[in-house]
Parts: sequence; structure tokens; C-alpha cells
Amino acid sequence: MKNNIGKLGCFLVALLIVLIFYLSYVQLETGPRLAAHPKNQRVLEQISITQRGNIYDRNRIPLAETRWVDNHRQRFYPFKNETCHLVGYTSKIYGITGLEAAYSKQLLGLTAAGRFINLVRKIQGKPPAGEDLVLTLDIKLQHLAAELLAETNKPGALVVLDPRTGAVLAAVSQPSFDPNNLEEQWKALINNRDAPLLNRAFQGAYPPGSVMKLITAAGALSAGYTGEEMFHCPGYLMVDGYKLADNGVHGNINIIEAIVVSCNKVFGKLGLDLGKKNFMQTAEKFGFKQDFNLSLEVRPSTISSDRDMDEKELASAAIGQGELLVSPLHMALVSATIANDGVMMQPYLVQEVISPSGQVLYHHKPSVMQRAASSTVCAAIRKAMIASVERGTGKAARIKNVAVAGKTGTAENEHGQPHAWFVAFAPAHQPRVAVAVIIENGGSGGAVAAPIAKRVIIEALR
Amino acid sequence: MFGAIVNSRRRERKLLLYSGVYQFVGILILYLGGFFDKLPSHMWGVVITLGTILAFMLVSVFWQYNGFKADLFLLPITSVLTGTGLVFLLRLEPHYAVRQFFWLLVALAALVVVTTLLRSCQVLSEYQYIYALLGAVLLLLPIFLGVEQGGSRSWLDFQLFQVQTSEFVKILLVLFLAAFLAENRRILSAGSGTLLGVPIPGVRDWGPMVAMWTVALILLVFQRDLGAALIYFCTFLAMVYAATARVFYIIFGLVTFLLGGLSSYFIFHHVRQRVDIWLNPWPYFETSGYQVIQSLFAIGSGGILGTGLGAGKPDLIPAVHTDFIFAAICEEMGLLGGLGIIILFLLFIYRGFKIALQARDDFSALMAAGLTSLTGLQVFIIVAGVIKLLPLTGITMPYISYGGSSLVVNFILLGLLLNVSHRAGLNNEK
Repeated sequence: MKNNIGKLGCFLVALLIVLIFYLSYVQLETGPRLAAHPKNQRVLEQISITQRGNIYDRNRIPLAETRWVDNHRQRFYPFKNETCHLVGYTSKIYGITGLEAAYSKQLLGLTAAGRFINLVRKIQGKPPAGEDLVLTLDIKLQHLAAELLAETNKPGALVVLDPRTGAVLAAVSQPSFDPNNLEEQWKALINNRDAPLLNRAFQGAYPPGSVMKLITAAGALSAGYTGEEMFHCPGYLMVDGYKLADNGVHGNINIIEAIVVSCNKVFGKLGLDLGKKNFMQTAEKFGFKQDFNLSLEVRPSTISSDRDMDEKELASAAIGQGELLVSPLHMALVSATIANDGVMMQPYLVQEVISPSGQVLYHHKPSVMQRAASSTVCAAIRKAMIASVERGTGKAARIKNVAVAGKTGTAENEHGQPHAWFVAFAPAHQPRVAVAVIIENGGSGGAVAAPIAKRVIIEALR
Repeated sequence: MFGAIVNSRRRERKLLLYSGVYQFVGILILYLGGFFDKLPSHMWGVVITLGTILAFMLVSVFWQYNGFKADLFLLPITSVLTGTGLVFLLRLEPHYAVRQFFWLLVALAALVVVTTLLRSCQVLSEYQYIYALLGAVLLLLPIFLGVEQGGSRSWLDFQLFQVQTSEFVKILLVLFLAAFLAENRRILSAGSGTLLGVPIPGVRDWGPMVAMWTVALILLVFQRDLGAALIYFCTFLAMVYAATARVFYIIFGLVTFLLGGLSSYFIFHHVRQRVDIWLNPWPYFETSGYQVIQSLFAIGSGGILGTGLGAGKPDLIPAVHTDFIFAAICEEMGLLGGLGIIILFLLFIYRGFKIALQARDDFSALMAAGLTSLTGLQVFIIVAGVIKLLPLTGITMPYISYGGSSLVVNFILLGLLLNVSHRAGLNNEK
């Protein structure tokens, strides 16, 4: 009997050891999730007593701050609709969006570092405070871009990057909204067919038009073309008995010149020469299908019929008219990649995270995302893009004393006028800024989008 | 011989002193945190602190002059547990802490009485039918005269205080089973027939099983006390196994238990509800799943070191001072605090079984094993429920939860266990 009692004892000890393991699992493995669960009253109370961190532009100009109004805290956005899609809003009713949501943990001081800081503050008798964000955004540039887009009176978007680092200097989407009094506008906002809540700069999905030719050209030059080969353009391209029209009869022309005049025939032909597999690979090297890991939602650019693309579709895709859908951010990144000798930098929005006492808790170090093409290939394309601005489709973006490299796009679509695209970087030989502009149903890229890009570049280089 | 007692009781008091310091520090933190303001008078904090330490010390001194040779670790272990309980009650529901303090004095008095009058515990083996009768009466009484509390009808109202009779039945059950099994274990072990070489028990063997089932069902159906039913049944299985080592009983018990569990899942709404919440509490967040989700929130928010005493929000859990006190401990003292409590119970079980193994006679051995199993199972069932390892069954955490009946019964249990230890100690010296 003593033997049985011993076994029974071991069994009970085993039961409690099971408890030890399961409790450790609950507290260590699921604990952090439970602690930050939105229904956990502790989180709500933490939010209500915490001084939410501020969000600054790169020059420490506040873009979102918490102010005391009539004895309660209020989130205030000084630049109203100009930063609404990036910074986002905090509404008790409609939730939290943008960087406010993506960096909620930091702004509320709920990270490991934040918790420790708030513990120290508690001991010092100070109220809990969140961490501040310093963005890569230049609010002056952002403001100008927003103004220029507003002048067109059409939906559109604009993205400015630093090609050397991937820093997002400006990202504007139009139409926009004022995050300061969301509750009053909400009904109008969600009923507006132009979807002002949508961040077109990152989530817009547009056919790229002739901007795509930059990628096709990179593919062809990487595959062995030198750029000097001559093609004949009769003003159209016949594919499988289907006639792809061109914007003009360009006669005998090489690849570089074809970029300058944006010849459809040459790029359709190059797409066919590359073949479906090669073309898709080049597209992916230039960032198709990627969300760029940007903490804000980005729509990955797609080639929808990539599974069974026939010759005709391949030729259309090569000139940007097929079933391609790209985001303005992505096109800015393509431009920046060519500017950066084919090295695609990881785009980013948050430069620094700063503790309530001013300590830098996180500092972004620029990192290479991938290599898209060789520097020789990019040099050839750059040459063509410079020529395109000097004497080609992008003349409207010419700036005195600064060489600008650009490419226009005029994307046909079912909703009326074509979308006007322009991507560019400058100064062409030592690029510090890369831009993508799209005006929905704006018409010709060279006429509508290029002048906007020009003014933004001037401001950015100032 | 007397010198040995003095020595071991002194060591016991040294341990009790550590436990007292622990409790004092806890209460001091609460005082600094302003938790005394909810008490009728700040003096109560001092009374509780000093009173508890003094009372435990006095018990030890009394034992020393009484020649009590029992295990010296069990009382300090339980004093840390009750100390933790008092500190957390003071933090969660201060006026309950005062009541709990008085119950603790009653419980310690009961401990002294039990360890004095029933020291030769073998006497207890002669009253098995009295236990059965008394147990039946105590079980049935609340069904007719009881008041409902927390969804189960198992309380007797004495105006000034209420008594949960099912708590007392636990001990009677162990005493009865120990006596019954010690007397009949040889017959039960043998079986009265064979089927294909496997011993099959006869009608006589079915008797206790059926009786036990009846008791569990009464609890379940009439008192809706799922937790008590579970504990009785598991303790029963544990003791039958210890006495007979017949796997048949265990298998039969587990199979019928599963069948019973399944059928009660379909028959009883409150059982089904508990199981559904256990499987996935989130759809019931606003209603029946609220409590266990709040418990998980509290535990998850504690982390490794906890928020610190008084700095968490365990009061968001309904009934936190009884069934869910463990979740509060996990939030404010963290994983380390929670593990500490479990380890204390592990030590308790270790000492308990050690006593059972040292016992001189079958009855004492079975009683010690039964009482220790009872405590261990109770801890397992309530902690597993609080951390959602098992469906929740509302039972108290021994020595920690608020509840007078539970506290007194657990100290009587401790006394019986120590009596066995005392006799074993005498035995060893011969």
C-alpha cells in the first residue's frame, strides 16, 4: 500500500508541475498579447492617463501633438489635411489609423523600453508619457506638394524620396480630410466617391503607362542590348495580328531615343524579345509584388495576368498598358533606384523614436533592399531620362542650372482622360531627390504632371 | 526526547518568523499605498499583522510544551499561504481581510483542538458510519435550508456568518474512506470473480463506487456545485487507488467520469456553459466568459516580476477574492509569485505524502494520503481553471482564498495530518 501511496504522491506532484509549465506558457508566451489586448481595461486606462507622444517632421516641426483643452487632452494635427494619410487620426469612434496606429505601442510608451521609462517616471511622480516619432517627412515639401495637387482639382498623389537612403520626404494623396474634426465630416467622407480616406500615394493602384518602359529598358539592357541597336518604328506594332498603336511614326530609332520619345513599338518589341519569364523577373527586381515593409499599408504592384500572359498582353505590359497596377510610391522608388545606380534602398518613414526625456531609442539606418540592375544599365537609362527632359516628352520639367532626369507616362484607362504620370530625379548626376506624380484623368503626363514635379524638385533641392 | 521537540519547534518558529516578516512587508507596502483607508480603522492593519504572527507563534509554543512531535515545515508553509491570502485580501477587499483574520484565529484554535484531543488519530478509524451519516446530513441540509451564493446552493445561514457545509464534508469523506478502505482493502483488492483471467469485482465492490456517484450527483444536481463534485470524486479515486492498487477502479472511475461529464454537458446548462467558455471564451466576452478573460488579462499583464503589490488592476476580475485570488497574485507578483505559490503547495504535498509513508497503520496512512491528495487536487483544479487549462469550477484556493469554512476546514485537515506525523515521530524513536 505504501508503494501505491508513493505513486499517488508522484502523480499529484506531476499535476502541479503541469501547472508550473502551463502558467509559464500563459504568462510568457501569451502574456504580452493579453496585456496589449484592446479589450483589456488596463490598456484603455493606460491610454487615458498617458501623454501620447508627438509626431514630428525631420526638422522637429510637430505634425501631431497632444494639447490640453478645457481640462482634457486633445490630439491636434497642425497641418490638418496635408499629413492626414501618413500621420492618420485618433478617434474614439472611428479608431486609429496611419502612423498613429502603426506606432501605437511607442506613442503610448507600451514597449519594453517605454514601460521601464514610465516606471521610473512613476517613481519620480510624473504621469506616464509615450515616445515621440521623428519622421523623414519635410513638411515644407509636403505642404508645397499638397498645394500643387490641390490646384489640379483632381484626385492624385505625389511621392518624394531620397534615392540615397530611401527616406520618404513627402507623400501626398488627394482628396484629403482634416483629422482634427473627423466626427463632423465622417458621413461626407465615406460617401465621397473619390474616397478621401484612401492613401493614394501608397495604396493607389494605377496602370503605370510609359513609366513602365524604364523597367522594360532595364530588362533589355541587362539581357544584352547595348542601347545602340536600331529599330524601325512604323507607328504601330503588330502582335499576333493585333495592332498596338504608337503615339507617332518614329522611323529608325535606338533604345535610348525610344525612351526620349516614348516609342511604344520599340518597347513592345523589347518586351516580346525578353519573354514572359525575363520580363516578370525584371519587374520583380524593380519591386513588383512587394509591400516595402513600410509600417503603413502599401498595395503591392501587380501584373494580374502573369499566369497566362499571351504575346499581346506581354507587349502591352512592356509599355505599361496591360493589366499592370502600380502605386505612386513604387514608381517613385523605381525612379530612385535608377538614380541610385540600380540599388533599391529600403523606403522608410520613421527616422527616430525618442523617449520622453529626449533619449534616442531608435534610429533608422538606411539599408539596401535589393539590387534591381547594374550601374551601367542605369547610366544608359539615366542618359535617356535626361534627354527626355531636355528635348523629349518631359520638357516641362526642365530646371535652370540643374539636370533633371525624367520619364512621362500617359496611362489609358476606362474612366475617361488618361492618368498623367511623371517620374524624375535630380540633380541627374548626383541625385538627392526622386519624385513620382500622378494626376488621375489629368491627361498628358508631360503637360500636367511634369510641371508639378519640377516645382517640387526645386523646393527639395533648395 | 524532550530536547528534540524543543529544537524542532524552535526551528519551526524561526521559519514562522520569516513568514511573518514576509507578511509584514506586504502589509507595509499596502499601508504606504494607501490601501488602509478602506479599513474601518488603520489599527486593523497592525492588529492583523501582529495578531497573525503572534497566533502562529503561540500555536508552536503550545505544541512545544505539549510534547507535539509533528512535522515542523507544514505550519510555516501554511502560514506563508495564509499570509499571502491576508495581504491580497487587504489589497482587494479590506473588510474581508478583517473577517478572514478572525476566521484564521478560529481556524488556529481548531488546529490546536484537533492536535490536542485527536492526537492519537487511530481512534478516528472507529467511527466510519458516523462520518457517513454526518456527511449525508451536511450535504442534504443546505438543499432544504440553504441559501444560494455564487450560483451554488451549498451554504447554511447562521445570521452572523454563513457556513459552506460541503467544505466540512470533504474531511468527513476522507475519514470515512480511510476507515472503510483500511478495513476492507484486502477484500477489495482481491476481487470476487474473474473474467478471462482479469479479476472482476462483485456487487460488494460496486457499493462504494455507487455511493460515491450518488454523492457527486447530489452535489451536481441539487447544489450545482461542480467543483465540490469534482474534488470528491477525484479524492475518492485517489484513495481507492492508494488502498487497493486496482487499475480496474481507476479505469472504471475515469470511464464513468467521462460518461458522466459528457451526459452532464448535454443535460446541465451550467456545465455546458463552463465547457464552452473553456474552449473559447471570446464570444462570451460580455457575458459568461467575462470572468475568465479578465483573469487571463490579469495574469498576462503581470509578466515575470508582476506589476508590484497594489499596482495592478486585479479588481477587474469578478470574485477575485475567492476563486480568482491566484490571478491577482500572478498579476501583482508576476510569474515568480505564482510559481512560488505553486511550489509552496508542492512542498506541502511532499511533506504530506512523506507523513503518509511514515504512518504506522493503514488508516493513518490512507488518511494522510487522502487529506494531502484533497489539498493537491483542489489546488490543481482551481489554478487550472483560473489559467484556463481546465474548465472553471468555482472552488476556493486552500489557505489563500477568502472563506471562513474553507479556512477552518483546511486547518482541521492540517491538524489531522500533523497528528499522523506526531505518531510516526514517536514510532521512529522506539
